[in-house]
Amino acid sequence: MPRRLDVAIDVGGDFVDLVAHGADQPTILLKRPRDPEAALGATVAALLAQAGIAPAEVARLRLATTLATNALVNGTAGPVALVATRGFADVPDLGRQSKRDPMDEAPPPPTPHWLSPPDLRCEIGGRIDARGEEVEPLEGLDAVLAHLARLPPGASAAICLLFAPLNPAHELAVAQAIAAARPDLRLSLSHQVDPGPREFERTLATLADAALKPLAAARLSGLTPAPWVLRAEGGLAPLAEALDHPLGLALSGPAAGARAVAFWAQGENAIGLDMGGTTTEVSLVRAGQPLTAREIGLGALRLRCPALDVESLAMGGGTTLALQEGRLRFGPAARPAGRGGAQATLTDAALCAGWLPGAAPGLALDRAAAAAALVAALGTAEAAPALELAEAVIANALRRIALRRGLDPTRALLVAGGGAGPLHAAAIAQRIGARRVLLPPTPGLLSAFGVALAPAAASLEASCDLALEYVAQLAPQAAAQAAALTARLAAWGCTARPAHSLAMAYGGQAETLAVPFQPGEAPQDLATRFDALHAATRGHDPGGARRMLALRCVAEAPLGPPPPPPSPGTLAHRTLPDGTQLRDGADATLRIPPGWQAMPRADGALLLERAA
Amino acid sequence: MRIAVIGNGIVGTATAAWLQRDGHQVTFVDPLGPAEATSFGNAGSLSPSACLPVGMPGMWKKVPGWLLDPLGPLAVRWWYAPVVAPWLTRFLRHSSREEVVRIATALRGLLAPIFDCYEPLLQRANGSGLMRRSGCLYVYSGPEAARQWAWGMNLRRSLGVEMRDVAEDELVALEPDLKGRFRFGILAPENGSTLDPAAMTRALFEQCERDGAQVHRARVTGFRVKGGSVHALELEGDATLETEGVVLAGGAWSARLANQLGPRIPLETQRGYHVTVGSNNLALRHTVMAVEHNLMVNPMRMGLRLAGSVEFAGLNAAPDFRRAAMLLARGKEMFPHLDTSVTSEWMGHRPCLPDSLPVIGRAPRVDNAWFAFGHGHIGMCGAASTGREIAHLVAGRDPEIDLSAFAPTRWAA
Ligand SMILES: Cc1cc2nc3c(=O)[nH]c(=O)nc-3n(C[C@H](O)[C@H](O)[C@H](O)COP(=O)(O)OP(=O)(O)OC[C@H]3O[C@@H](n4cnc5c(N)ncnc54)[C@H](O)[C@@H]3O)c2cc1C
Repeated sequence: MPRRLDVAIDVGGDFVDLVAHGADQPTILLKRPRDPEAALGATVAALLAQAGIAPAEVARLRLATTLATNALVNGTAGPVALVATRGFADVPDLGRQSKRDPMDEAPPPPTPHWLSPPDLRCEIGGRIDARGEEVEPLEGLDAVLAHLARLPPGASAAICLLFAPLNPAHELAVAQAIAAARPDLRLSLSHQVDPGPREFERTLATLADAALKPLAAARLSGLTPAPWVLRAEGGLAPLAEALDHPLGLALSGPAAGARAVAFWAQGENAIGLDMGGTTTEVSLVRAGQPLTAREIGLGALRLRCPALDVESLAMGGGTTLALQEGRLRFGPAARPAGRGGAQATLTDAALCAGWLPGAAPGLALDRAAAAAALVAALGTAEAAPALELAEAVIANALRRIALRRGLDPTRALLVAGGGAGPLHAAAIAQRIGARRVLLPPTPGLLSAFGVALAPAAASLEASCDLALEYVAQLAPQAAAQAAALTARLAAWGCTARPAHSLAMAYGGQAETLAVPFQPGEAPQDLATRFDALHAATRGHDPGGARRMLALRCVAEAPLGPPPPPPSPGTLAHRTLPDGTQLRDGADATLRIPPGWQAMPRADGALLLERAA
Repeated sequence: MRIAVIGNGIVGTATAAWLQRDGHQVTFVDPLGPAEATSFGNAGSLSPSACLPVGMPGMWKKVPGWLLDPLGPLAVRWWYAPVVAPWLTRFLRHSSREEVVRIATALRGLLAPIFDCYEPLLQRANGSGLMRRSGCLYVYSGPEAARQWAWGMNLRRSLGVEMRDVAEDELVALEPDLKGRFRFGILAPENGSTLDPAAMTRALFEQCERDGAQVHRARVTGFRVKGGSVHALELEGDATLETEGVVLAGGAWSARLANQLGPRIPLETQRGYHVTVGSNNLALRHTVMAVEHNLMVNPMRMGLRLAGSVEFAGLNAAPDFRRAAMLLARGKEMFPHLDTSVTSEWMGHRPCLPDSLPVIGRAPRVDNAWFAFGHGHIGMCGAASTGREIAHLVAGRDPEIDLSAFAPTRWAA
């Protein structure tokens, strides 16, 4: 009988990683540099071949990919036509009019110019009011159709009408008319993409979703078997479903990392540090559960989309070093990351410091070349200042990110992964005051392992605006959401466990917190839970009127048996003159500074603890 | 339509940009380059809160002082007093409580959408970095002083302006540079400012050019009218320029042209001054309005600008730069640690009507000319919304705000 393997693949910026497991089969682990020119299908096929897996042996293919992230960050998707309510075509340019730095003379536009060119916008008459009632009938469809007539075949359009989440009738009518006139166009409707209040956020999310549709369809179809794709929320969905709502594909890799960090945290509060070639992904875990977020940040772009809470820092092994006016500066990652060249990188510095072995998979490690690059960039081959500064920068960000979520960095467990994470984790922990660092086995495959672990998941959201006393009124809607999701996951072949939550805020607040709830619960219990969550997250609970602004339901179902924890393999030991211990694994080097002690855990992870 | 826009200050430029969005072909006619007149050196405050008129209740008591103190915050040069007296009489008539409420309500309509009207233009012009929304602090020597202005502040609040009282310790936390001099403040968080009014006007102007606007460097002297429409502009030096429509946005110099197309409009210049401290060593984050000194402070990209002062002396008299020196002296009082080694001075002509309201509307005697001038102290604030409304009028659409108080016919007895 041929092997039946559950194959998880994480296509990152610099590497592609694979974790494949099956009943009674040794788990297959593989990390390979990614050929940036190769198409996704070819990349996957080559990786399977290198792992010795025949296509017929792939029972299930799971995929995390940077496709959507790259397309949005680099502007290679889109442009998108926009149909807006009369008087609202400027919404993408208006944004929220808040600049991070008031003296910044070149702030990023609220909507990237490539995404929504003004000449592709048009307006339509008709108005739904804030209660969801029609105050003016839809008017001017013909003009909209005439405007869209000049779009090339297969282009995409976003329909974003005022208050559509409260009453989608107008959006649906516009979509129907467009579909009849131009069946080739790909449409995203705002009430389906992002049924939340505030038209700018909703419009931006809908534009991004529409921009990704043609691209995702072209790049992801054709893989066999059709993959399950990891979405920002940290759950897998069948390809067809993911293509209908491609915005969820953004940040799929980082979500995988966050899943894995939560797994290794084993019920504790943890900070995830996933440091790769280009970026460092920071995720957060409270009591074993990954924290969730309502928006994802891609460079300057903030998109509203339910996601696991992951922040990305522009710091990785490939980060370049330069001297500017006598000061050390970090520049964007060199391409391809960490593979030498004229520019000095953090990896070069680590190599000069003696932290890295002479050879590593996918990295041509040449100490003499690294030293030369360092001398050229900084005038010295002394690597310690650059490495310490990088660690301080990451530590500062980590502390800020954790404290903003009400997580005490000095008590949290730091879970480190990625090719470079285990090298810096203990030193970073020391800077943020954390005493414990967990290094999972095969830390370089953290994200791929997260993909292998991830459940199938889908969610639904409905906006509302009700005082907490009326929570009972939401019960029928909650039941309907649960039934719809159970049916959807059943169609995928999964048995779902729906869980409900409410987006709650105190009266007058604009930002909500997600409070878990079960239909039938008393308002008083919910109030107590919300107050406690508010106190934990924001440091105080002012009390007073509490409102519910959205009802969410998430259904998760395990997708096959979980992969066994990978075995740690044998690590080669080295020691530096200052007492630093180094352990070289197949995919990463662990650095244990003096004063830290490494204890193996039963699941194969290594727990580093700082002497008191 | 081919439309000539007379004046490429901020008002003409923003109006042209809005007209271009409707597909009109715009020609700027102005002897000066963009923002070389009043739009060059103003304080750059973009304040949805700036809806109060200059003439406030009780003002009449102060008139004698204006004549006696030539360097006071508001002054009338003695030889100009007879000329400006009728204008001042009207001005005082508009300073009753009822009038102030009426005027503030109208102005608030124009100013509430400041950012909504600028942002699309600036995004297109790649100039949105020149505008910021960082809030304005009104500061006072103490809460008692603030009480003198409380009626106006409450009127603003009643019109939807967000204003928050700030006690001394919070004031210092917001702006450490204000320590010691001011014991009370009011924060208008919705307010904003430009980092450089001239650069902002130029950015919009250059985008208009990229979008096809033509430029004619000449002074307009009159209109050729036939059958109730302007069909050409008369230019200095006996030239003419054919056109299908006209917008008059000539700032303080608009009256002579406007009077050819309708009843006389009492436009007067309130001359204002600035000192820009290039050696600025403060780290202000807000614009600061020192209410008792009538002084606006804006941290700009070329330095710290101190602007204010009102002087009645007509369009032709030479600037009296002692007034700028007074501004600097006040600035040093506010910020004793300010490095004033590098400064520059400037005077500009605010185009003012007695009721502090601009003129926005169709010219009374013809069907294809529109007036957009007289923005007084708030021309930067009101330019973009004026432009949007003029574009609506030109296109025959309903205006988005109530323009009746701005009618060009409001002085026709
Ligand atoms: C000291 C000071 C501080 C100020 N601070 C602020 C502030 O903080 N915020 C704010 O909103 N406002 C402020 N203002 C007011 C603001 O500067 C003016 O209201 C605004 O600049 C007026 O713009 P405008 O386009 O109407 O006029 P201008 O900028 O004066 O432009 C008028 C143009 O019309 C041209 N023109 C005139 N006549 C003719 C003709 N016959 N033919 C052709 N062209 C002609 C002129 O050459 C000129 O280029 C301040 C003003 C001063 C003086």
